[in-house]
Amino acid sequence: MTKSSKPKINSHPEWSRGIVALKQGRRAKNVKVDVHYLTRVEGHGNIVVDVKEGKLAKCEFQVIESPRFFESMLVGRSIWEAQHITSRICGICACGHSLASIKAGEDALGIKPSDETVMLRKLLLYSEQMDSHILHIYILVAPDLLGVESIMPLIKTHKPVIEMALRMKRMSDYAGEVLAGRHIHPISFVIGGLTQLPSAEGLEKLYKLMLEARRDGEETVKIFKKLKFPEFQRTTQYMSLSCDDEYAMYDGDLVVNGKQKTKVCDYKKLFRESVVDYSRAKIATINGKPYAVGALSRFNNNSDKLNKKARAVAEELGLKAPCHNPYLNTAAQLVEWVHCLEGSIKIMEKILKEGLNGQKILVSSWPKRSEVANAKYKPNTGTGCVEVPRGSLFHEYTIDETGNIIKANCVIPTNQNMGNLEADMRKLVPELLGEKTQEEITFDLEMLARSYDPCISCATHILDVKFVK
Amino acid sequence: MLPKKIAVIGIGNTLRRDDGIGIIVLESLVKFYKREGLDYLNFGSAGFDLLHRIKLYDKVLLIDGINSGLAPGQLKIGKLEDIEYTMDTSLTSTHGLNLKSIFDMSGQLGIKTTIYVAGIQVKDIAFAEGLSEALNNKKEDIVKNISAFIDANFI
Repeated sequence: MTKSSKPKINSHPEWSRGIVALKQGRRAKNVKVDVHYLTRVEGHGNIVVDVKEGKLAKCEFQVIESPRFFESMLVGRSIWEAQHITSRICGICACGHSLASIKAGEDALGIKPSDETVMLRKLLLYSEQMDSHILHIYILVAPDLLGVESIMPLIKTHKPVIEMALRMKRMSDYAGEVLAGRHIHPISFVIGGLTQLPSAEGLEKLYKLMLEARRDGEETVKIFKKLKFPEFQRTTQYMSLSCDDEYAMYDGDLVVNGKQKTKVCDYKKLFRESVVDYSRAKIATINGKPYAVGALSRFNNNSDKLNKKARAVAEELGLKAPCHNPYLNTAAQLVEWVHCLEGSIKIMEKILKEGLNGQKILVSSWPKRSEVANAKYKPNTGTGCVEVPRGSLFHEYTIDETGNIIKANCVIPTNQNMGNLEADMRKLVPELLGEKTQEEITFDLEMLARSYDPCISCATHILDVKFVK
Repeated sequence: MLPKKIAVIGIGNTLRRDDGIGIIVLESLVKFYKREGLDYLNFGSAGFDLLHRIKLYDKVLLIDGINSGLAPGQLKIGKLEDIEYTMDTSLTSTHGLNLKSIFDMSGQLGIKTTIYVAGIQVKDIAFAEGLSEALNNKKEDIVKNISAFIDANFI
């Protein structure tokens, strides 16, 4: 991948009509950046930077969403229904929240799912990684690299590419439908197993779509290897799951830059969350310093576990571990997309060849409401962690003797990244002073924030509309 | 046999009180007024998935909560082109459902589906389960009216 300090340069013919070069203006010494409602991220966040006479006086990423109280909503609810509530936290990572929730529930209840169930969970997690990554790569980041406001102008100028992106997204969406009943707010994945097996017809069609997606993936790599990402380096701590036998997404221990191996249940010993007065998101630190989670962290910690095709794509994109350029999180997402597609195809071939053994997967004994009410449980605390597109996601529940949740804690990747993003901004701004105009600095900061793919909330979608007839 | 492929789609988050009205109405339509040949789809707070689904149909009716300055629980049904949106000026999010972006994209991608929107004025979208009293009182009428619209326009 070519690197450049000027992000809005493009050389791929498919994108050639989308370039808008920035106008060079006066070099900045006094800079006031006040981006209210950063676009092309989920939710509402502001970037506020104040530089006076070359000195950085203020540099904040302010999360201004109202708190959502999901942890409070869980209190008093049965451990058996937690995943149906928590899947509503996010309209993209619904499966990831559901799986973290299920794992926490199983940990609290002492239930071990079958290998077949875990295999299907990994397949579901892969599909969600692909779904989110392709959305971020094409819909949220590509406009930055091409100098346009959003995907809308690209539909006019590069319709075949956008149709390809939507086709890739459709494949992942369909995987969610086949495996879990629906991608958003999955239904069939529950504590202990699945309530329904995926249909043979659906699996056959999904396998075909996955094979077809290989070609789209190759084309996407060709496109993005010619796009230029900003050059910026800052060494930081990269945290992710890691395990010996695979590129960890579903299971493993926590590691920081490949070290400080920590069991998931001890996550509170590894990082600390604290509040700041200008933001409604917590800031997390390890050893008192910010850290990053997400595709680049996973790549930096586990790139040697990537499958062959994904390693080849990383090489083609010029991505090497450890990479300290946060803008290249998008490149790491593309590498992971390929890894997940190949991993999914491998699982699908096993399923289609050997079939699914319902006896090992289906949980016909999943308790009815009346049974739950009468059961006695051992009070316990359980923790679940999975790697979702934006990083390590934690759910932790404490249950009482009735099986109801009395305490819940959810640690979301975007919260963990906030401190690291601000640290990046504090290093980047002085580097740009004297080099770029205020407009260019603002753009670079927006692009930096977007490279983290922050998911500030799943806002309600109530529309302000006016009927004119 | 219906001449065209038609879907009735409920949208909303049932954990945010009146925001879930689209889903609650959809469930009542399926229970009491289900019509053969129509697909009834619960889309929750899904986003781009909707784009893929819409294009499979000749006509869709989206049922959703709206904020339109009407009386709580008031129902308005219209074609997509009859609605002015003041929500976002650009594609700002892909995570929650941004209907305006979906509609804009469907138009630009040349998707020919005729889209109707049944919008129900919300009163309370706080984090909680269950509709506000205002909407709960009108729920039955809303379901009947939407069912009548379906019978008159789709059957």
